[in-house]
Amino acid sequence: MSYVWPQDVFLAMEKGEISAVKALKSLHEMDNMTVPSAKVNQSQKRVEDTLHELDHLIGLSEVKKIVREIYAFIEIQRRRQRENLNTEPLVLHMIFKGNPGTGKTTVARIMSKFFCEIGVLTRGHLIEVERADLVGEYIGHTAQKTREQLKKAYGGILFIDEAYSLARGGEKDFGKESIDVLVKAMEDHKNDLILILAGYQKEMVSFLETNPGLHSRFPIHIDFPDYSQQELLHIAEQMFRARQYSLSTETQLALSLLLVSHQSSVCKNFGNARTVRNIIEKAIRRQAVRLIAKTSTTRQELMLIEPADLMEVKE
Amino acid sequence: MREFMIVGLPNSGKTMFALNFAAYIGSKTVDITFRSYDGLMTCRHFSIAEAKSQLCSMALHKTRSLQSLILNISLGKTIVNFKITDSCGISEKIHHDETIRRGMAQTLSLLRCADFIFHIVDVSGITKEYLNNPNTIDHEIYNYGIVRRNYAILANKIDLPSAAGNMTKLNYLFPKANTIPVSALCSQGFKEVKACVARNL
Repeated sequence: MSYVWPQDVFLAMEKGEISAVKALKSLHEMDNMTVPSAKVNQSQKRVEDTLHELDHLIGLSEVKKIVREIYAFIEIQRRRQRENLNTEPLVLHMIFKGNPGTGKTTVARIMSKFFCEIGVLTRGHLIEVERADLVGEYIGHTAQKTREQLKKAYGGILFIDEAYSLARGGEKDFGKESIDVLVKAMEDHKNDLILILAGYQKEMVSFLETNPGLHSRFPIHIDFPDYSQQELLHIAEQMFRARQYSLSTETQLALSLLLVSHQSSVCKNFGNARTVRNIIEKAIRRQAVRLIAKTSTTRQELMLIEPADLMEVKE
Repeated sequence: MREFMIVGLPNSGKTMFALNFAAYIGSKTVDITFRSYDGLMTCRHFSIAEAKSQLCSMALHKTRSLQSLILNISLGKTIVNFKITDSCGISEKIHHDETIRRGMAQTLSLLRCADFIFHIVDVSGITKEYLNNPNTIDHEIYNYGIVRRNYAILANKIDLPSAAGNMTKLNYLFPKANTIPVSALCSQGFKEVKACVARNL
């Protein structure tokens, strides 16, 4: 079997499908093929790494698919350009819709890195703003403030969190003015700026309805679905592992029960991955309280989370 | 900062070499950064003796993650920092333990981007089968490294009686590589390694 990317080789090796000897052989072939352009190779490696980072996120299959689509699209546009074929201008403004804690900001951060690596953005930074950063206090102040933020974001991504709040205030609200400035800038600087509007599902839909021009100006709409219970459990395990804690089988069971009860009881305000993080941090604090009474603790004890630590995390 | 990477079979003396080499060029204590396969980084401070007793062992696969230490060497009037990274040993067979497989994958991924590769070969373990088998992991690392040019073989364990006479065999096996005989345990041959590091900074 042949592999296309080095990451695939590493994955196959981790899974125990191939031995180190074979892995090295295929790496040898791969690297030798791309030896003449060492520089390209380097950036290719970084693109792979960024994509890999995205793949490491749990769930979000639709998002991953779209990012790969964009990558393929950009690559093909570039090749077409080399053959002097007509190319489409790249408009990559996006709308992220999803409940709190479904990974919108995380994905935006990874995307900014990714777009920088493949050369769509010159600087590849992410400016995160909210309504208060864009809307001013008196007439004329809003345009000035919004333009300032835009100027900072050129060459990168402007990420507007809770974007629906810009249109919430009614007729006399300054938010409208801010939207006008944004719309103008996203047309004028479409080669240099990616605008991402993010917000909760329902609010974003009504926000897009208020201004008919908005919907068509954003070619990419990404929905961030709520995580399934299995995915939340995976996320929790990953978070514990990242903090160097380990879970026993009983703890895993207790954790899944806890997540079920959370999902059903506080259905509306359930913060998805963010709630999971809060649960975990609380459990870690409970564990600390449990252990502080002991005078000596082993490495194992310091790492293990017991079901009792989770039981007391109720809210 | 240039990154020098140490690879080789399990139990060929990679960690011992890294620590004794650090001691040889004048470090009394080392800060070791551990990088596990899922991207987790931890840093621990050791004296050389402590590090040896905790990180080196006769058992196979003691090292399971990347362990980097930053060392400095004086070149002319300046002091240059460099990083030396010890890695999980690569064995030929598919290992049953997942953490070790992941460790090996991590080693290979670093092998692709390291600035210089020190390939440690256990000279005392050169047998007839080893000589006649062109598919050992050492051969593969050699084939991979020789294209990269920034590559040297450290023939380790020359202090052992069973290593006598094996240097010529090793040179015959890997003719194109720069081979330095060393003993990681007894700090022999480190002068040449230091010169090699200095040339490649």
